[in-house]
Amino acid sequence: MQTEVDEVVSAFVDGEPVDAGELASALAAPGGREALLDFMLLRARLVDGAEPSPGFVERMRRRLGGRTGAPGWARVVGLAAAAAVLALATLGALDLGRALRGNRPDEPPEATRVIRYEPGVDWRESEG
Amino acid sequence: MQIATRRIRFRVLFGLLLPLAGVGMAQDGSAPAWGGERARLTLGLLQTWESKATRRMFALGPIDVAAGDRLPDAQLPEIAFALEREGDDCEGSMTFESAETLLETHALVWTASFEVLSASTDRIELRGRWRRLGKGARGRPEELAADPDARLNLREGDRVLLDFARSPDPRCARSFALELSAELAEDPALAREQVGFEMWLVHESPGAEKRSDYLRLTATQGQELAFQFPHVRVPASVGSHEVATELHIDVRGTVRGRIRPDGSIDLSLESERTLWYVAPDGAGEHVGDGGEKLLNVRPGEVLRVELPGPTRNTQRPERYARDLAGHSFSLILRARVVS
Repeated sequence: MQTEVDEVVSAFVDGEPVDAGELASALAAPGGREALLDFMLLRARLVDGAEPSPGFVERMRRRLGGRTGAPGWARVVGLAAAAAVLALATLGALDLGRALRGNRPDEPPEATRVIRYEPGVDWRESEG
Repeated sequence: MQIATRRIRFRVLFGLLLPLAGVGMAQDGSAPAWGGERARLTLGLLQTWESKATRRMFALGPIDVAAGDRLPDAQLPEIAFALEREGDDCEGSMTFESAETLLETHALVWTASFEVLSASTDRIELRGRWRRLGKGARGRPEELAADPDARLNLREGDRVLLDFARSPDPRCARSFALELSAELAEDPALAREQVGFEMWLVHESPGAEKRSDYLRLTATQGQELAFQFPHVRVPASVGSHEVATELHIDVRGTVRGRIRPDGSIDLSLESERTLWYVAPDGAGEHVGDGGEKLLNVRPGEVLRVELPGPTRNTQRPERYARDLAGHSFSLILRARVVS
């Protein structure tokens, strides 16, 4: 019962449409008026200080060079991040393309083992 | 000469060859389990007629011989080739009789025996002995030539002339020679496999883009294939006494692949390089060198085989060194099992 009272009173405080009869019954019920008072105080506390004071806003504007939009450092970081993402995406696309295409048949692949003919061992020189 | 050809009579003691016919077969006639690589040997007698080509007169083989075994075999230690004039005929025999017995009736006798020390792709090691016997100045049998400890390191398909002698009678032939040839027997389970090769010749030079030429080859198991790349042309500097030329580098060779039971591939790569100074009129000088590599690779493994710098074994090594300074050549090789 108390829960229903609280819900009706809470909706009323939040500005939601509430049936007048239900609101009257809720306020008449035991604890109804106390609930209304609690919700009003809670709302007042939430609203109080939710926005910076005009003085605080003015001080921050002066510190940030008087800009009213997004701060400059954030814009620089954002642009750098976007460029990095774009570069990585481009490299990834190139690598993917290479992986899909493979080497051209006439292009030598990377060797996994390198050996050498050694003169006098397995390489002979003929008289010129 | 035709009369002499008709008169000559050959005799092979087939009864004595029967034990050899069983080489490579199990007692029930089925093929035996493949117990490792075997050399395939042939011992033969060559005959050359006056003004005619040389041909094989007798041959023992080809016979598959495993490492540690001999040709003939343990029960028949030597093969003998004997020649004699008999009336108007010339008689030749391939037999297992002893040389001493044969010399009672034959003018020229060879005996030979070889053991297989090892057998693998393009590396067949043999140890053996041979003797040539005949009648000496007083008509007595004597040893005319011999090698009691002949050592042979052969590639597949090699032929070795062990000994040569003039015919004791020109009506039999002009000359005879004892020859041994060696191959490698194939594992029957893999004999129909194919090996695919991809090869690149890579030329790097100072201040120029890396250049490569590409070849693709397919061979059956153990088959040797020849390859040749197009000329690589390098401008030649001109000295005070030199004609304007171009230096051509020709790279060619042979490659052989053999798939092993474990799936790896034995490779034999023989490379040859010729450096040609070619004048505008086509004249020029050249020098060649080359080498051989025996390798075991995984299918698809990419090998880079670097060729050495220019040869020093020439009358003007400084010219080659000058024109090829900074240039390098290498072969890239990839072998696969063709499925």
